[in-house]
Amino acid sequence: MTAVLLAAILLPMLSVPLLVWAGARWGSRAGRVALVVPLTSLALIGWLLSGAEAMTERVVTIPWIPSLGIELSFIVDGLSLFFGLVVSAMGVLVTLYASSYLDDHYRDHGRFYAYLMLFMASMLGCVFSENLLLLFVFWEMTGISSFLLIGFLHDKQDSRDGARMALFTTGGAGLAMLAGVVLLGEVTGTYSLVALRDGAMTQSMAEHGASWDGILTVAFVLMMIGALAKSAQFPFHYWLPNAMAAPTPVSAYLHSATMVKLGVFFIARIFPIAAMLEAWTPLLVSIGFLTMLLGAIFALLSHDLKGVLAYSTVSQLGFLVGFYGMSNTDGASLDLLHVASHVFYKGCLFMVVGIVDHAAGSRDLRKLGGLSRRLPALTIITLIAAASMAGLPGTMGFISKEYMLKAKFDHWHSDAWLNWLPLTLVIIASLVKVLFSIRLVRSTFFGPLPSEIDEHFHKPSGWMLISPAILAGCCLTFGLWPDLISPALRTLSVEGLHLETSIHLKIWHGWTREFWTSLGIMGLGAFAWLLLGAGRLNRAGIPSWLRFDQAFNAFMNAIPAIAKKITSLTRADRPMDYLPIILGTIFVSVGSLIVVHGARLLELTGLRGDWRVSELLDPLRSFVLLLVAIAVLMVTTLRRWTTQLVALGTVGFLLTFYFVLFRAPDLAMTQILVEAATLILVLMLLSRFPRAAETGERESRPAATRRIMNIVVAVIAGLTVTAFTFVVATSKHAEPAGDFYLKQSVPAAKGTNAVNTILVDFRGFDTLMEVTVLLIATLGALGLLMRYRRTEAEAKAGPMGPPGMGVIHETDAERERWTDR
Amino acid sequence: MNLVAMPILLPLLTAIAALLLRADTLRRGIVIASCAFQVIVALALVILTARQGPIALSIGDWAPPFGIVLVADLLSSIMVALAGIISLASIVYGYLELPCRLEHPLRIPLTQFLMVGLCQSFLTGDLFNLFVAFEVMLICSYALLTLEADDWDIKQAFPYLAINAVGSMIFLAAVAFAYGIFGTLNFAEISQRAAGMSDDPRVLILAVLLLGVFGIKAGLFPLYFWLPNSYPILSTPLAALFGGMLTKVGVYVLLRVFGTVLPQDLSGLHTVLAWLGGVTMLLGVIGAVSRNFVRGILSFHILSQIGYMVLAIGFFSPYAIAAAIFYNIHNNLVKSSLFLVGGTISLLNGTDDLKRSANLWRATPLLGVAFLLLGLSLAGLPPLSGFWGKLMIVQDGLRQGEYVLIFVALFTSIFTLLSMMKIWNASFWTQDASVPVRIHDRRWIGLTAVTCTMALLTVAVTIFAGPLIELSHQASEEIFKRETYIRAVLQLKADRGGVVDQAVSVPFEAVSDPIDGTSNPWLPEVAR
Repeated sequence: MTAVLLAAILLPMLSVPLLVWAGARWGSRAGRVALVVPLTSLALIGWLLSGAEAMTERVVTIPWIPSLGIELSFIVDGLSLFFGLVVSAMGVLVTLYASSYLDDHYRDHGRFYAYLMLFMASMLGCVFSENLLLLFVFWEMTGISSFLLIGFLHDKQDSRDGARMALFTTGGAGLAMLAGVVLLGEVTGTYSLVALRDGAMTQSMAEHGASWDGILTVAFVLMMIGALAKSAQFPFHYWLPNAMAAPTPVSAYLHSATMVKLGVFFIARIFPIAAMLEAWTPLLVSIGFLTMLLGAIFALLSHDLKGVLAYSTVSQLGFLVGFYGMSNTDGASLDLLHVASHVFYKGCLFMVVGIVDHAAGSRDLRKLGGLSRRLPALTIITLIAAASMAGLPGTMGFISKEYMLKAKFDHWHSDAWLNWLPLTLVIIASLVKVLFSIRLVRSTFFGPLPSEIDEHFHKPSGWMLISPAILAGCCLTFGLWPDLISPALRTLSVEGLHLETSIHLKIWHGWTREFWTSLGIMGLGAFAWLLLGAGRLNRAGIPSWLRFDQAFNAFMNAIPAIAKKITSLTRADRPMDYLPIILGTIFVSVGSLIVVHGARLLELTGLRGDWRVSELLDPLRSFVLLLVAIAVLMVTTLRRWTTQLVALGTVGFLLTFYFVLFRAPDLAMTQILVEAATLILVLMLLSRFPRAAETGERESRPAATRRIMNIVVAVIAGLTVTAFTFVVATSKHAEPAGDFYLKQSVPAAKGTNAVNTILVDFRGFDTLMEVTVLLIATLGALGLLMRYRRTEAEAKAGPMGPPGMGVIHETDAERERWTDR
Repeated sequence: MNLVAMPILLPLLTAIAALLLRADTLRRGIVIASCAFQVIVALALVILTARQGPIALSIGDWAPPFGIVLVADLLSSIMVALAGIISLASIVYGYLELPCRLEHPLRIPLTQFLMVGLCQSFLTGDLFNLFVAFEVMLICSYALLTLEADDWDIKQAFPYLAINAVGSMIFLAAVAFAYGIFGTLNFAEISQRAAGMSDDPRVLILAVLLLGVFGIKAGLFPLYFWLPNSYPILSTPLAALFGGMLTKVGVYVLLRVFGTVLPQDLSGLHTVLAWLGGVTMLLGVIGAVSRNFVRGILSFHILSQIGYMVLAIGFFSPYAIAAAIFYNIHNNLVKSSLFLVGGTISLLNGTDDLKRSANLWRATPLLGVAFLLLGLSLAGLPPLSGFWGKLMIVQDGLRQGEYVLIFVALFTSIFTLLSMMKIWNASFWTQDASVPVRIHDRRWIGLTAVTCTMALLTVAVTIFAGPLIELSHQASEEIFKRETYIRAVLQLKADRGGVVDQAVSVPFEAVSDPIDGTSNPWLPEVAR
């Protein structure tokens, strides 16, 4: 079984490079080849299902990264098999459909099928995952492949924006989900869904008491953010209609049948774990049913056929989310029926829209009409699917709605608002649904045939009809004989999620409350349609303040400007501020630490009792110190480079005094030599500078505030270093290594000068590297001297970047050598 | 034969050889062979240290702490290996980009010298020697930064030079302070002596000072200013090397100094580190979004990823340190590869300005795939390598209850995705007939091949995430336990003869004993 399952998931993934190759070779016919892949997966999952009679769940685990708690762990149970079947079967139908839809007017067929199979593999991985982290990995992979699919027609700005929006909305919310999953994993100690269901959750709750409830609720809400965004629930509903920029097969597959169901799937998956939380029902019911109503109204107000379907999908997903929310914590029932019903009619309608778009060249409800005369078969298919969407008797949509209403009527929640809110919203939404179902059929297929549509019209390939016809057939068959599904539902029932009841679905079960309600909805819907009429709806539109997508795009486009503002606020582009900020940060923090720990540090210095500063400074040293201080002040206050340099040199010369004082005449001499050489060299160099450079420097004095700030920073830095040097030099410390060098200089290193033995023997490696530094510095100087000089034309062209970065500092002849032409 | 010195000696000899040879095909061959050999040596070192624990070598046969020691523990070896791989990729890329005649003759010698500095800073076990290694690295980077920059760009090198020179000065002062406080510069011995001094304010102040110094080096907020505007003036292969390795030295020394050397209970400072990491990643990613050319975006992203690693270091648990190490492995490869992709983009489009770049997805799908893999990995999307590092950091952060910082980290990752998609949408997806794709310039084939190889390498990091994470855990254990590191160094002492007696003669307890003021030659006479 392991091999079969892995093959079902991995085959589509492995087929990706092959499909790219096939596309390059066969063009639009690659679709027929690609069909093999979902068919194989479907067969393999079907085989798994045939072995699932016993209804037991089976878990396959392959270790992957054990230290992170993540394993390649897959579960085969009713839920995963159901969704696996939906994904692979829809995969077959959509590939079949796409192979006709993506004709030679399109490009990159190979890539399309490759993305599609990548997506299918991620979906299969996701639904079969038993490990929450693994599920998240596949979850994000569906997001990436959906990004590529939405942006398939990437020449258009719409496609790119839609793809970006989908990726950010679901990806960003996915991060919340990641946080939720990790939080749950950290709290309970496992990421395994089975372990969580079988007690890890309740056990950790029992161990930690009531406070744990809060954390678990936070984890749950975070996970729900991810799931709800994936299923395009309010307030994330905006991305789905924009994802319609994808080619229609993608919309049919990802954005109605499979990927957007992931949120619903996830809710079902964690139902056994999380349904007991108090937040479960209020959160899901309120968001789900609110979305249901909003989606339905938006669908009514949209004019693009795909927009209508997208919003109606949002609405239906809202219903499914709410349905899980209001289910009894013991388990839901018939949820799979509702999902399947939606897959059938919505997948079918999307494919129909694709055909209409193909044939008539428009998807605008205001421009279409009268197509029934040209496309009779398609009209029948659409009528069936739309009837199912509206919930007319004889279709699966009717069965679904009946049983949903029945479930609500049968199971009353203790909180009154959790009863009336869903019921009211469902009834209103269903009403609106009837309305836009009528509108969809009426405006597309009936009425006069506009002349421009007629001119553009060309008959679609019969192949394209196969997939929607199969789906419509399902709507009708299971609508008329619902009991056909009952055994499947029993087989697929899942422990913890589903109530153990022996279900027998019937199309007619008497004059019940739910039947009256259905009847009322249909009647009122038809009446409202007569009242409103097509014309009035054509003039309506979605109010712009509810169109979050516009706000989202505006926000996305504003981000760079905002980022620029923040970046400039942090002074990242102001070189004059760099050093004061850096020095200030370091020395203010060090300085304040010294102040805070002042008493303790003073104690460490060994200066106890009645010492005075004057005692620490003998006259000779103080005098030299004074001279150094004056020289330093001159460096900072003098205004000419030359005099500044001389003052700086003075500081250096005066420092030699200290070497003498510490009986190191050789170092003193070195210091004098270095100072003299540096001073002479730099002065010589400066004398060759143009005079303007020096005067220019003098005239551009910084503003007073900056000068004061610089002085403050400098003073703090100086005081801090002085204070800490004083502390370190005078405080007690461990036996220093220096003593060893003094002692061992003669016996071990055979040298009488300890400094020399340290430099060339004990720590000769340092010296080797310092010599290397000198060599490198020479090379650097050489490099500066031999730098490329720009021609006048290049200099005028502005910054070009170094060679290679698109800039080629070369002759035309050189360029010839690299190029073919 | 002791392998520890090899990563330093090999590039040093190669650099000198390259200086003596003419910049022709022969030199190229020698350099590539040497770089490949460096990679092999480094990988051997990784395997050795993973099996045997840290390996130490005392240079000049002087026993520590008086001579300088080189120590290769697992972390050092991993860093050396990464540096080797990235330098090989960058040099091959550079060779494919420019013919011998146009290659700057000093680029290769300086790159190799840079490798010397890098490997030395990874391998040294001595604070002053670390300073020297920094000097080698910095002077090389100054030279390389200005080597090929044109007249317009060269001014951006000035802040880099100024800030890093100041940083060096502070570092030197800090080294002196460390010697004053601990009486030694040897990491292992400082570690021993500091262990009992965690409540000593001098240690805390020294730690803050070192944090400042290494913060400059790593590019931490608010010390990062030198980085984002200076890296874009580098040519592609050098940017890959700088972006991949040079700033990571800062992360490495933070790990080394806070992990192995300084006392481990400076928890207040670790919290500061974590928050600095958080702010850095946020500002880094915001800066990246504000830029509109590939190199600029990537340069700012260096900061945001440094933030991630420093955040993990700040969490300061063995798990978080392992996360930082794994993140480092992932990020070094991905970041330098992305710079290479950026270079190929600008070769093909003639610019990497996103407004004037387009058409690449149809023209060069392989480059596109490489970019997608790398970019999504950088943003931390599963199952790519970046995700696992991010996951580990999130796990540890939530475990420690650092909710705000984890929120910042996740926020950063979505904005990373935003800026990667900005490049993707503009350069790859946009079709614009007015933008030329210089596909006839055959060089792009070679460049794409290098890029794809690097992308495959990151895919390999993804596939072998399990073993690599195990390796990171082992390295992190080693840092946390310290004993193996210290024992490896002290073993050198024990192996030496007569001189050793004095070397080991400092009993550990004596350190905390107050030394009599009268015998202290550093005290002014009045105080004695």
